[in-house]
Amino acid sequence: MTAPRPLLLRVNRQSHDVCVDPRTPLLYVLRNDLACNGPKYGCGLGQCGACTVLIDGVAARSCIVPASAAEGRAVTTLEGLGTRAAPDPVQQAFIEEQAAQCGYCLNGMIMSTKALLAVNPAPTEDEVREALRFNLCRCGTHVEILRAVQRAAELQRQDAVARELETLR
Amino acid sequence: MNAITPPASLASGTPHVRDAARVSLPVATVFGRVVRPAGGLGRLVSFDAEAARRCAGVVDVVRRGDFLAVVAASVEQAEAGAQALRAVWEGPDPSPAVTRVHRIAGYGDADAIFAGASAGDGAGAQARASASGPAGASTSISTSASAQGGDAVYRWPLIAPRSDACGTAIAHWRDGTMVVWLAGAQPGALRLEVAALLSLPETQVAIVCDPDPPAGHDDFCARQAAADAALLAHAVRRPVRVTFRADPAAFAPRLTLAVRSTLGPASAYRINASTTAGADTPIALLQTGTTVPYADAGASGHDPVADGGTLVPPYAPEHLTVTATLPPDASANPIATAPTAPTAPTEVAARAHVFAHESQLDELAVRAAVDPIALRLQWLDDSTGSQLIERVAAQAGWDGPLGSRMQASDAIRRGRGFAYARAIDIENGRPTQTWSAWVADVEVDARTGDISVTRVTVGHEREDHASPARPTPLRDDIAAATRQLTTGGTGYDDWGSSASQAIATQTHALADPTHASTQPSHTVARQPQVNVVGALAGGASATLPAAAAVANAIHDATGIRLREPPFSAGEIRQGLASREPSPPRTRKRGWLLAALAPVTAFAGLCATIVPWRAPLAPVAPPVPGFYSAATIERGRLVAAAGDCAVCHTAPGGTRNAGGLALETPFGTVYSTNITPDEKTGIGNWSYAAFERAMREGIHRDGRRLYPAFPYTAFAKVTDADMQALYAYLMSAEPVSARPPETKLDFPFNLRPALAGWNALFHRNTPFEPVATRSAQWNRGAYLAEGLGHCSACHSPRNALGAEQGGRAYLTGGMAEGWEAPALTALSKSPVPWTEEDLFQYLRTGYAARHGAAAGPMAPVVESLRELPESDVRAIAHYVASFSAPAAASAPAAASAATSAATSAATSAVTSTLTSTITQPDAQVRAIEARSEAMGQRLNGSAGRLYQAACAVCHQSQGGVPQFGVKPSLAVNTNLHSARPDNVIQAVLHGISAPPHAGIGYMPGFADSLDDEQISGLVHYLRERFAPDAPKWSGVEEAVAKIRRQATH
Repeated sequence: MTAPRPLLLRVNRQSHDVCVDPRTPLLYVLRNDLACNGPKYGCGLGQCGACTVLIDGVAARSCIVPASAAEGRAVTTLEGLGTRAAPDPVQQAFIEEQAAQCGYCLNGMIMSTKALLAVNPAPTEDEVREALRFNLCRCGTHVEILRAVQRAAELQRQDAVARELETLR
Repeated sequence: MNAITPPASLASGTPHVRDAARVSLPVATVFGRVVRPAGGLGRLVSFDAEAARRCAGVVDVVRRGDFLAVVAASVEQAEAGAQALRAVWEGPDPSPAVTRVHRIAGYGDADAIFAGASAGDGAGAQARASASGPAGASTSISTSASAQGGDAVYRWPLIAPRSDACGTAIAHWRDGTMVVWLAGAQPGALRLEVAALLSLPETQVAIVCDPDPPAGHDDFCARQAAADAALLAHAVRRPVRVTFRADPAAFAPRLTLAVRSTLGPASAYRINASTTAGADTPIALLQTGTTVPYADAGASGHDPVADGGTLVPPYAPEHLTVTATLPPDASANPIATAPTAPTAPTEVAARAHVFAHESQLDELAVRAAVDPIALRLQWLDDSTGSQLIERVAAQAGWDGPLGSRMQASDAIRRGRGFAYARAIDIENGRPTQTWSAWVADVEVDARTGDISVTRVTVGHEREDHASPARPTPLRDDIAAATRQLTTGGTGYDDWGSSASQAIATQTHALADPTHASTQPSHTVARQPQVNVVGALAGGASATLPAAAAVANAIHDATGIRLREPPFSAGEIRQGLASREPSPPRTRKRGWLLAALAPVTAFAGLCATIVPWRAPLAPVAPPVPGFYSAATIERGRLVAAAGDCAVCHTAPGGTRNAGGLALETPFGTVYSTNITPDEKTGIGNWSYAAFERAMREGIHRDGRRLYPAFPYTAFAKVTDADMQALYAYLMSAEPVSARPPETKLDFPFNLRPALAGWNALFHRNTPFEPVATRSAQWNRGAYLAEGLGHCSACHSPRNALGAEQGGRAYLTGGMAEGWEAPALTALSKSPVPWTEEDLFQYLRTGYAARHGAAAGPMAPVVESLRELPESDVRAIAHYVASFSAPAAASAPAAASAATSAATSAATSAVTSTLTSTITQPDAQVRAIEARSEAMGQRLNGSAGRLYQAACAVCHQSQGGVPQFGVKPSLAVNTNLHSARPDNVIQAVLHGISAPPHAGIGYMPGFADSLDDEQISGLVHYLRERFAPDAPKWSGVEEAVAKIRRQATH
């Protein structure tokens, strides 16, 4: 075992000091120490995608990434995307399309969609299927999820320029 | 939706700079990776844009002029894309085709003198004049019939960011405005530069600075990153993040000063200053051939090379010509629009000028055999300066250069040098004349080349008699000035700049600790007893002559003239070695022994095999602070290259405290505690005992060490490195820890028997560079054969556990349950390893066409991280020399060139984009396609296991980009190997400690899959990804065995 040591994590634009075994999965630190319960524990082996967060804007399965790997990088969880009052375009789209049944996979679907739209702002349906193929859903809401991703892409396109210009004022 | 209104500040003409903390950055940025040739500049000949675009996550390939970059979803993907580009450069050709020479000052015509009197240069035939009298005496300099002069080129680095410095910027092009966020506080002329780069009006560029950039960030690097990011964001229409890392070797603009001077029959002096590239200009501008009208930005208007008034020497020879060479685009108004103009550091230019003048005068004095101070006084028509020089000379006890009068010993050379400067100091806001004179005494250790400045006498005076604006203590200034002057060099055991940037003014007193008392390891600044109001104080101009004084002293001590700082120990050592017969070494004795072989063969054998060796007496450990920081730093790098901590640290244990179990065919060997603990470590080992252990494998107490400790390789380490390593280990924190004792079975437990082993298999000879190979190859060989002990794992061992050399060298072995693959032409890798692949693998732990470093190789890569990039490149270069000659890619290149030529109708850009597709890439594609087809055919539970457990991270085409790399299994070396061990290791135990977090992590499946499932999966992977290789046998047994083993 490695002794716990202080780690400085930057999660959702806030800095957090935690003292953990640096090999603790990032997911555990996010949920247990920082109360970010958006990411879910699914398989613990990086297979289902329920624990997906963004590290430096790239999707990461936080159950297999040790906390130490996030040092010096920007972690974004579901909580960091938007609020109830002002949801992120992706969250807004999933709400509009009602793309959830039990909702357990939803964190992974939303975060993976966020990562997808970052590199491909206008994906085709085939591209969406390919991108989300390793995010498992057991309830069969796939059709709604596909619609939600397309809607998210649309919302994000409309929103992007306005939002960012806003930040400069 | 929100209304889109441009902020007022963007519309106005003022630079838009504000607190970055309050501006949220765009979330969805992509990452840019700019590809540049060594040296930073060069003409882009060809690259494979298609190969890069095929890489996972690559958004685009951007090319403008000689600027080339890959934009991708993650840093790693951008890196992989950059590698796939395989860009070919020509050049470097940064020097402009046309230069314009501007005459700055002059009287008489020095050129005319030189035209007539170049024949006698360097003859040195003239009888040496006797040592001239004390300074200030009216020594007349005899003007001989032949001209006493010489040509020399001095260089001065203009930008020297720390080697680990970096800078980051994000650029976003939207609504016709380029917004650049910059992790730096000094935008300089960036707004203007970005506008020029993108051909935009300045009003359409906004720069946002971070007033408090993260540690390690450097403004120069941040501006470079900003220009790169702006260019990319404009091209791909997405927010782009770029990080620029300083690499002194890659881009080093310098001021070049060509000096020619002569004494008699008429004295003449000529100097020409030139810069090859803008000191501070973003490289992207130079690469795209963008001219920036700096004058419009209200640049200082100073002549870039004549700042501080120091380009004109403070002396008056009979003839003087001072010129500056400027690039051609400075044609209209050369001074105002020169690319170096905006922030050319005047102080840096002044230092360079003084260095060139004062070194040249010293060279002139040596040639003419006159006292260097007397020579200056004769040409000086400035009474303040003359008086200052005389006072400093008197205070220093100047009696001419030391020459060879005061050599301390063969090893320690002493020398003394003088330099003088007159400059305009504008620090106080108002130009003020200043005068400075230095006498520096140095000691040079001929064995190591280490330079110690032992004494400095400094005189300084200001016209306004005011205190300087920055009254730092002179002692600090001198320490800083000398520190900047010395660094590593190019010898095969030099460690780059970082090793010597600690305090370099200390002596190297390792080999014999008794030296310590006789060699003062500090810089003494003596204050001249002069009646100057304002007296002696610090300030930038006081240290102007430092470089020349030290260079002159080094020349006095060694006869070696160094014309570009920082002065390197390696350069001195090499210089000394090349001019003197090397002391008799083992090799020479070898010749002697060979000659006497028939007579002494038996005696020689007896002398070699000494089963019992005497214990060496324990000593008290060196007191803290005994070794200089520079020595310890060098030792740290030596230890990193030697991977000491990899074996001498138990899992979860304290660094270097020992206890790692190394399984050998003869039993388990436990590594020992090498911290300086007196009872359990090496605290009471003398240097002699340490060196004996490292070179001969003998414990301090006389016991023989098992060759699991690679003394067979460490014997090649040079003395200087060995001493530094000792200093480093002895300066560490002692840890009391007694590792388990190594107990091997009979007969291997009989340690004296190792004497015979050593006689058979060990040659205690130092590394001998191969003269026919390049310096880089030799540096790589030294690191790989010696410290790096690559062959300890990568060479097969014979029945007695000895490494096999010759043809078997580096042909693969086993280490800690992992296979260490062959590094030669026998490599099983489906795509041949190239030098660049090897470099990427060793530097980042991942090579896209081969796989990631794991198992015992992961900590090796982690250790290599400490080394300068040039060293890792050298190792890659050396190892690559063992590969089969790369399959000729020339025909492919030729055919591509032809096709490009035939499609002349296409635009110039398109034709260059149609570049060579090198053979390895075609091979990779074929292999990938083959395994994809196999994947369609193979079914069953193992296939489903692969889809569920492996594909998300290993199938580059599926899913969104994931944190870390997506290593292709089709080209993975391990799946093509003769043994399944590494595949089973990775599947069972995962990769929990990659050398770099950015590679990503792999979970172990030992707890979720049983032996049958693992075996099935391993067979599936082999069949799918290496279909032409035979099925592995013994997989089931290997899985059971490896499951029982501890992870690395």
